[in-house]
Amino acid sequence: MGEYAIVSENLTKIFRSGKRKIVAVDHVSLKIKRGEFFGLLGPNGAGKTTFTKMLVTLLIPDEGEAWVDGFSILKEPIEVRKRVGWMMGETGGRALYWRLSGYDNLMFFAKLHNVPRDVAEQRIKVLLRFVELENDAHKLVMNYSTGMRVKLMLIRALLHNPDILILDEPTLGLDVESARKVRTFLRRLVDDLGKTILFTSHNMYEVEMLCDRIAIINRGRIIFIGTPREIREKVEEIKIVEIQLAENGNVLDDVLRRITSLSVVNEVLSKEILERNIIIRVSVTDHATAIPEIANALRGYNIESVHRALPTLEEAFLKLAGVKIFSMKPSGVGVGRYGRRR
Amino acid sequence: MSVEEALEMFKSKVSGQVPFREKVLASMIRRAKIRLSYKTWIIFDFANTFFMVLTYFLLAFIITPEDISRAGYGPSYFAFALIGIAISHYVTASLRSLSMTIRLEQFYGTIESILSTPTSFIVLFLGDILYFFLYSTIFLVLILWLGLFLGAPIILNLDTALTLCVLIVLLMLSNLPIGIASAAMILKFKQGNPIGWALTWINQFFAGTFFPITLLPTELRAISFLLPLTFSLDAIRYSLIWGVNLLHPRILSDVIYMVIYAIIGYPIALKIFNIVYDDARKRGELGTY
Amino acid sequence: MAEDVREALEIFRVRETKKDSFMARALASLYYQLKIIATYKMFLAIEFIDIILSVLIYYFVGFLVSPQALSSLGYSPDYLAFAVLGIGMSRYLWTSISRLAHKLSHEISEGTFESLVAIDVDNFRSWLIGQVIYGFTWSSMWFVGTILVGMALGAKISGDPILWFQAIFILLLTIAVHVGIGIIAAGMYIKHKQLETMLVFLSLVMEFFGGVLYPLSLLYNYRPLYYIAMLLPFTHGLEMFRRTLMNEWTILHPQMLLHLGFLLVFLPLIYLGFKIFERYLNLARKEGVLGTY
Repeated sequence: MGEYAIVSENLTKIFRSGKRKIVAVDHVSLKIKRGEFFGLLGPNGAGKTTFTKMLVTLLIPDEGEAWVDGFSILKEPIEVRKRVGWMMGETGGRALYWRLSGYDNLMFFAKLHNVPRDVAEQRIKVLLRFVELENDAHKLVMNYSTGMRVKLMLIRALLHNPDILILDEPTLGLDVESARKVRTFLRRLVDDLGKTILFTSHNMYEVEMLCDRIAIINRGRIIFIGTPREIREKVEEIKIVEIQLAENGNVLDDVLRRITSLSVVNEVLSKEILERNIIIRVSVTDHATAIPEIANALRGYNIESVHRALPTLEEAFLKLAGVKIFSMKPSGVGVGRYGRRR
Repeated sequence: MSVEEALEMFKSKVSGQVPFREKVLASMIRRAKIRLSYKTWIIFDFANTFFMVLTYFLLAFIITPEDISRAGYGPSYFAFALIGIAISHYVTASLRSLSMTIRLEQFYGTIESILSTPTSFIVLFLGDILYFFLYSTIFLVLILWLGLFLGAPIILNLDTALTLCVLIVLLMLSNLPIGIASAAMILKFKQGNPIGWALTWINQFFAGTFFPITLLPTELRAISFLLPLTFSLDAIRYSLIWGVNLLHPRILSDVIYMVIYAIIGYPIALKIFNIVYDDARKRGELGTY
Repeated sequence: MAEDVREALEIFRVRETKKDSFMARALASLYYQLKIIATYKMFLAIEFIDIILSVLIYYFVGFLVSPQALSSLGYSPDYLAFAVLGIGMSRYLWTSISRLAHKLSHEISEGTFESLVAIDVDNFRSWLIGQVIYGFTWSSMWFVGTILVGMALGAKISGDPILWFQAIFILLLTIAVHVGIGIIAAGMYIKHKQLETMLVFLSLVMEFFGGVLYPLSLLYNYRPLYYIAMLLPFTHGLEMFRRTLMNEWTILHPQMLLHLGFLLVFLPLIYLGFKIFERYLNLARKEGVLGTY
């Protein structure tokens, strides 16, 4: 167990409400090495937060077991808590005392984490300066903005200098500049000081940039584990063609029939009808042959473009997982849809 | 400021241990700061108590204290009611401070942050109880002083003051198990306020804050004897009105009752709390409110 | 997709010309409030216990009160009746008055207040009135409950229907005077955001200076306090209410007429209340503190 910071074996959590059973985390087995920056990626409600809460002993699993720094989350919860810095996800910044100042909040939690006063003072001072909160340190947290609260929560998780950090969406709610700074800092914590970070996000770009390894979780199950490079390679296997027609919705059926009859087209991924536009995305066996064939098949329609497109995050997940992920929104940058206009 | 400087903070490993009492103190200060940020609430509390004392001072003019003296509390209704009001904050503190702590921490969303630290929740409880204890003591002193000023015949000397201190500690100790159990109820049912409120009312009524329980019909008086507060009130009144100390047989018997409540109460209350707490951790409802 | 967009847009093509009457809108706001409160079962149960226990306490305190002392001060010798009428009326007024301000604070913390103000002034006024009426409906349960529990415990309260008619008239008049105060308190809340101080001060003043639990003549020896008591409309309302149901005085009794005069002087407070409320509202809008709490 020595080389691993976090090990989970068949960790399972089931929530019951009335007769309904929701399996939030479904037999998750993971091994995270010491000094690894590990990303847990998944849509909202995938089980990321439930999984991390079990690791920090706030939730008792229904099945399975996990060890953090070699300590069992079931049998030695206090030892686990000593070694972990946990930052609660969700913006809004609950998890702090709104009627205490930022400084008072940090000082209080430092004590609960057994950090001696002088050390705590020094760390709080430097870290507040680092996240540019030093001038607001003595204001009540209720007067902070969302971004300021997120920064405060991050400092709170770091105060006792834990070897293992479990961070739930730590950059959500931060402005671009601060988010960049925080990312650099986290990366350096791993590189220079050998800390282990388990990091959850639904921002593909962020995870890809920061993490050594990524696990993709959906509906409580790990559906893929690998390096960002492996993910990218997998994703690049998907060949997508996007078709844009200047037609209205009532011709859709005929268009789809014509496209799906082609042998180069594997599957229709999505169809969208805008005011006077139809956009269809299909996966194909080969770009070079598919594009002219599709254009040919649609002769007679007002074609705006037929072009090669990069897969969206949802499509990438679809490929990796072999299951359709609903409610998944492509998030901004990265493997977005920049193949759309040429 | 650069990332380098911030990183510098984490190069040294300090393995210290913050002493238990320092944590309790920090927790007390946190509660005090939060409470003091609601200034108007504190002002209200003081004004309310002040007017309450005045009300019973005036009411005493139309009261014939026969029943009071028959119950053994001397000739003054004002003194009788005054003592009831004076300790009411301790009662509220022991019955409700724990459930308030849980409720507030759930409301603020801090309960999970705290439980993710290696420090036990008990520290928080102790800190809060300590805060409410000090807060109630300020009230006790002010109310007794106001009562003496208005001529309440209570006997305050070193002997009775020390007895009072002991009895108040016993009052809190014997009532706390009820408070712990009701805190568990909050974790379970999430409906804090009504339970705490009902507890306060029931105690105020059946323990006889404003009238001697000898007036209650026998069936209802049975309930009075189930409440530790009945004995605390009796002992404190008896001591302050007659100027006797702990060694007086009547006070001694009250003390024994309170100790019995505490001895029986804690194991049961803690057991209930632990069951509910583990259950909440299983169901993932610690943080919901 | 285009279909539902079209359908949704359709709704806004017609401009409605018809409007519900002022009263109908006030009643609608009342109706939804009642619906919300019915969902708080636990709350209702506790409220019920609260009523019974608070009357019971004074039932037992009543045993201690010397009937001679009470009747020498000019009341009928029944302390339970005295206390029940006092508690009933003061709680009734207090909950009604605080209702509006509490409602406002709730709307503000839920973030719905700004959208309420965004509707036009006329609508906003009817919302306000609806809230006030609601406050009184809700708290009249308290009132009726208290009186009924008191009577069940044997409080000697007049059963004469004509006197009850008079008592209700006095009650309504006292309410009318205090609606203005409630609206002013709500207005001050929007501006100053200090709800508790305001309301609590009102409740303390009412309970203590109104003589809810003890006969006011006991305060006569403490002149400054006594004068404060005499300057409050509530004191006169409560005194008339008690005299009617305990002493069976009619409105034509000279003392009653005197109290009545006092109450009537305060009647313009309603109008004033509206004016002051709107002034505070506008101030808050200028300073942009409408939605903060």
